[in-house]
Amino acid sequence: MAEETKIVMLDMDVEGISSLSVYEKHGGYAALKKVLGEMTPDEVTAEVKKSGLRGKGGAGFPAGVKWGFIPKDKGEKYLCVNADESEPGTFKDQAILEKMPHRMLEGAIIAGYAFGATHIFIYIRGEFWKEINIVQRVVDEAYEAGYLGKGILGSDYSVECTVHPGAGAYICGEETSLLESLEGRRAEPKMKPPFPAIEGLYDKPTIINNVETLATVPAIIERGADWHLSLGTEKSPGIKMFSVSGHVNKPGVYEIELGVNQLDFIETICGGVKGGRLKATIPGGSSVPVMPAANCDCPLSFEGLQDAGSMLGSAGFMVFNEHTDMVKVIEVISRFYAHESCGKCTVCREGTHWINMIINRILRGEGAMDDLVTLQDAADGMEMKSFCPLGDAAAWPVQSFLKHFRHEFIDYIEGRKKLVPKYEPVGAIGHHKLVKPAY
Amino acid sequence: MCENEKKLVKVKIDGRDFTVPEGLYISQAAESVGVDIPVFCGFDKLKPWAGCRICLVEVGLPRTIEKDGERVTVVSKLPKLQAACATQVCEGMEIWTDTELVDANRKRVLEFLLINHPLECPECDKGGECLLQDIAYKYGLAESRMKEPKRVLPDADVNEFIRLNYKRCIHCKRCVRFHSEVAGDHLLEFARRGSETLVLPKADDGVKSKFSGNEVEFCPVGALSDKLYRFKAREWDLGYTPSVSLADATGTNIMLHHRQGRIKRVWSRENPEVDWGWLSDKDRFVYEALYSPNRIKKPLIRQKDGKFKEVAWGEAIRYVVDNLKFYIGRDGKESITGIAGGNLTNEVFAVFRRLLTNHIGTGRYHFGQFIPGISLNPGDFLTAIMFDSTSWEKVTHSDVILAWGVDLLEEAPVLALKIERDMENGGPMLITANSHRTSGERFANIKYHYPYRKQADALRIMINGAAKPADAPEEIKPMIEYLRGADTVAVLIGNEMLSAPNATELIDLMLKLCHNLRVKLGEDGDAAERDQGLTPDITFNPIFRDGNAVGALLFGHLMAVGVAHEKDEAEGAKPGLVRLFQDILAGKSNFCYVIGSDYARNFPDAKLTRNAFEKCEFVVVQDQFITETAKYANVILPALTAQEDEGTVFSGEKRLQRLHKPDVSFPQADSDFNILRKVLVEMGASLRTASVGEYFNHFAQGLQVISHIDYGAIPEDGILLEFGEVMEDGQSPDPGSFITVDAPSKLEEAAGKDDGLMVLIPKLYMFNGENHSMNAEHFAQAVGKAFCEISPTDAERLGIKPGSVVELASRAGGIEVEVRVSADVPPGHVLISDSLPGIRLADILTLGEHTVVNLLPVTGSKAGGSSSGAD
Ligand SMILES: Cc1cc2nc3c(=O)[nH]c(=O)nc-3n(C[C@H](O)[C@H](O)[C@H](O)COP(=O)(O)O)c2cc1C
Ligand code: SF4
Ligand code: SF4
Ligand code: FES
Repeated sequence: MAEETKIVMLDMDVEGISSLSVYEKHGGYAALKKVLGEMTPDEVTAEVKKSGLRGKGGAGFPAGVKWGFIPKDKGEKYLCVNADESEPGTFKDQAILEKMPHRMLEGAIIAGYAFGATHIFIYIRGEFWKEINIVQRVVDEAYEAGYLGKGILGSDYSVECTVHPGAGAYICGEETSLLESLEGRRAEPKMKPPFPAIEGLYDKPTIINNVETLATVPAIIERGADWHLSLGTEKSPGIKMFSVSGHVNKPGVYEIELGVNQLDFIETICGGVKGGRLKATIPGGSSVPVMPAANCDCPLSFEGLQDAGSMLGSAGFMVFNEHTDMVKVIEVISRFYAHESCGKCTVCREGTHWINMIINRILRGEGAMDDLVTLQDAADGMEMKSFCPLGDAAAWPVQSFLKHFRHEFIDYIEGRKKLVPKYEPVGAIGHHKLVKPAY
Repeated sequence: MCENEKKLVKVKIDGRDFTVPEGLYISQAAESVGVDIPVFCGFDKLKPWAGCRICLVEVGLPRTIEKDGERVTVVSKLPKLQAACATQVCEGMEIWTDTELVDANRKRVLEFLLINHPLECPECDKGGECLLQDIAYKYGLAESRMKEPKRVLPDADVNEFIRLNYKRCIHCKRCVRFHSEVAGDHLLEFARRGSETLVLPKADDGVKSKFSGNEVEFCPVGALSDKLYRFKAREWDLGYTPSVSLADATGTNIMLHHRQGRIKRVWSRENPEVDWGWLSDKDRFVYEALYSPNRIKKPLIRQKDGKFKEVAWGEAIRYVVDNLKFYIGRDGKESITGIAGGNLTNEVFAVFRRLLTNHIGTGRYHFGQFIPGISLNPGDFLTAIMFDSTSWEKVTHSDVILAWGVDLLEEAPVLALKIERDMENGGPMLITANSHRTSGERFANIKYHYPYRKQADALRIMINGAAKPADAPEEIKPMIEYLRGADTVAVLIGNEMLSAPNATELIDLMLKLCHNLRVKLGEDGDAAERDQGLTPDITFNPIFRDGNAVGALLFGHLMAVGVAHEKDEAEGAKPGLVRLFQDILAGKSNFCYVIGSDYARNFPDAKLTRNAFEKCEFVVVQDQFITETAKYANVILPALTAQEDEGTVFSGEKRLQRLHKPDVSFPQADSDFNILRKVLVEMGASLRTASVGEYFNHFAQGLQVISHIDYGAIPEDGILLEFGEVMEDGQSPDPGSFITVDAPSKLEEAAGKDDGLMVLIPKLYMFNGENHSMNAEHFAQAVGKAFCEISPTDAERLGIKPGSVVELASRAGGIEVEVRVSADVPPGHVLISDSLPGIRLADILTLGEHTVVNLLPVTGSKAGGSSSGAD
């Protein structure tokens, strides 16, 4: 029987935990005090490295290893907290920002100490206006209490912190685009190398970490790397927050040990499938391949999901019951990518748009069998060839939906099904309608 | 950079071994060995961006592994295709450009690009020279699978010169990257995202670029098109003739594209040592003036009633020569005056001088830019230009560039880009010194500002500071430190010095500063013992405003100095321009021959020149337009521009370059060279040379530095003249000891703030109102209205609103212009174009002293202003 393991979410339900005083009462900032009092920066990095903590923003890169890339010399270095959470189906960072912001900030200060950050930028998705206000308040509190600013808690570590609202595009969450956006430019992925750890924000060494990654750090410091390693699987140590949505009885955010069985997770923690039997899941946010029910009996871990044909991604866990129209689902997903492609590279800019147009045509009953070939070709043309992973993220769902639910497309093509749209989908794209730019 | 300094690496491309320089991108390396990799966004002159994805190839990297106890190197393919335009080659790299994967990607990328591309090649200007056409022809799918409607957006104007066709754009971002990375003006930006991404012109937000035309050349498709060229010709119908731009003294290399006897467009002709393939919009677009309806088509003779009548060439020439003979007979040969502008070829200068000195026998002539006072003592200046000026390459490779009294971005835009590029690549430090904040100082390491009227004192302080750094005032210490720490310093001076009322004094001071910098500092802070060969190398290049200013000086002064000295001994040296005009006014000269210059409009004492031309009994004007000077002419001879003719010019780096004769003509206009020769023949001279080339070879023999050069053998990239080589012992002279001058301890601007008077700063802009600029329709639009700028402090003090019209009144006269407010202008000053569109600034300039003006609000006058001077 699967059960929740609350680490980041520990005490999340406590009334007023987002305020400094309540957070401190529940042991908040003890880890920071321990770090400043007892540990050298290198020891902190070594501990996190040893813990095997993997980034929770989607790519799963080991956090301690990343911090180790920062050059040792003095000078400006930056930590950017990636709070741009925009992946469809993912809302766990939002929960942290709203309810447990001090834990994220404490983790950020510890990370900053570990690699010598002089400034922390918290880049929060622009639409999260409520969370932006909360985090700004939290940062102000921390300054007042001496957790930020010059000579933190009497130590000789100083760091400043700025909260920055995002620029309203999914691509802003991609780390190099985030840096462009922070510098005031249009968000567009940049060439690597130079890697941000060498030449990042304002050409200074920069670490970008996800909110949840940083919020996990205080626990690792307090309880030790070995404790963290004792949780989860060998390749996926520790815990992970899942944002659960779709046809389940208890949607919400759950923190579990990595490696829990997927079906077990749905049944026991998510309250079971709602309105019918399970048809499919998308376990890691809209970017990862869809899993038909038959493949779902697998561990929820990086390697477990990979072996089963999908990915952990950002753990945006979406459940679909047997009555779901999968062509409509992929229409929504492909519309998202067409809308959010940054436009830099040909394959993603044109591919995402074309794919969405074809799917819409199929839904309208105007599809033909050769459209499925075109869809496949377009998706294959994006995968692995786009400039940044967004192109892959747009291709994988299309490829997997075509693979597992091809018959549902054919139903539309052969006229067994037809969509009668009640309204124009929000954000529908169709350039022929565009007139002179409104700028 | 020196090629052989680069390390070579071994790579394998498609199974074949090659050795290529390290650091090249795969696409460049492949190209250098003849392997074809298509590119769209990849462009050598911009940083790699890797957006279009057409160039993806398979790449393998070497890895050392243990095998059977031995260390062996194996090449393992990277899982993803790599962008050839953005991946640098390294030792042992293996590249596959023709695999199934690579081919599939190319097909797919092309399909993606073509799904929204219009099928309008037959009506697209780029047809025939389009990268998309070429690559699609090679790799594309024949059939379109796109069943959806294509993306459609109406065209937009980028600016006065360029139209943007959205449908054709393939989003390679070259244009946007160019405007941010190279031009630095952000004229174009990407807006929106995904498939709605579009190139957004920013001209409506007041963004102005001096380099927009370049994007028409490098846009791989027909999205950006030249409004002057649209629908005029096809690439395969054009003729091409290499030439040189005379828009400024950079010597930018251009290619004239012509058809049916007319120039259709001007493109770059990359000379890496000069322009790196960029043109300014002036280089590119002023040619339009050639086809202005105002251009003179036939020779004109003024009738008794004052009107001009069209006549045949023979009659015009006879009329000129008859009068010439008459005035020689009546007033003596020394009474004849000759004046020429700075945009003529060396051959024209030479033949004009021959006419004046040999065949007529007069010393009254002046060629090129008016530099106040220089004729009185041209020796040092000319010597410095001949021996101390250097190549642009060497300028950009100096340790420090001191740009004094020059706004490089306005006065030599392409040179400015070259300097900025080299600065970015770890090149020189840049110090700028001006009276106001300039556009060209944007990347300067030190930006120094002196009060406009205290330029001489500022230089005096520098001279003494260079000799005794310890005693230098604080504000110049950083400059002195840079200059003193450098082994090579390139001094550039420009319009703010060359056209200042006290230009000669300023030049003299600048040469003293150069001198002091050449003297090594000893440990005690005094001049060091002479140290063989270790003199800091200080070069000196004036940035003249004309395309062949150096040629004008060479033929107008250098070779004349000796002659003139004998002739005019009693009155000093060869008469300067002011004296020429004064003498005309005094009745000493009654025949004046003017070629390609308009001093009735732009001489800083307009009353003097206009009265002189009025007084002069016989004026010949040889030009393209009825200039203000031509209004006083008795004969107007329609001349071809240097661009339409052949010949040689010297750019500001003393590069001898050749303009080739394009296959173009203009009704009855003839070349300056031919017209002058006709005059010579009519005068009875027997000519031994027939062509421009023969004439060059003839006079080159008499000029040591070019005596070895044969006209026909001048290479396309020109020849840098080295006057240093002809020095006897080949050693740099001992710089000797420091010069010190009387200098104030502090610079104070005594601008008459109290009496309400403001100091006028006339400035040379690229977009200016010269005759050619204003007759080029599109360029004239870009020049816009006449305006002046004042500081916010003055605007407030005087209660003047931006956009309102004021009268600028000096003791010489008044003009009305629109006022703009800019923090670039120091309080107490009025910044204004020295060549206003439609207005004669000369009406208010005061010769010999800085102009001070009163700002008087004008009520009820429409913006745009007009000249209130007598017309
Ligand atoms: C298109 C795209 C969108 C992304 N969006 C987010 C995001 O919203 N939040 C996030 O933390 N990481 C996002 N990432 C991943 C980041 O690039 C980066 O890997 C991550 O912030 C690193 O933090 P971590 O190592 O702590 O996971 C995105 C990546 C891509 C390619
Ligand atoms: S894949 Fe290309 S177009 Fe898509 S978001 Fe990344 S860089 Fe932009
Ligand atoms: S306008 Fe031309 S240069 Fe600019 S992005 Fe489009 S295709 Fe490229
Ligand atoms: S040429 Fe390499 S990605 Fe465009």
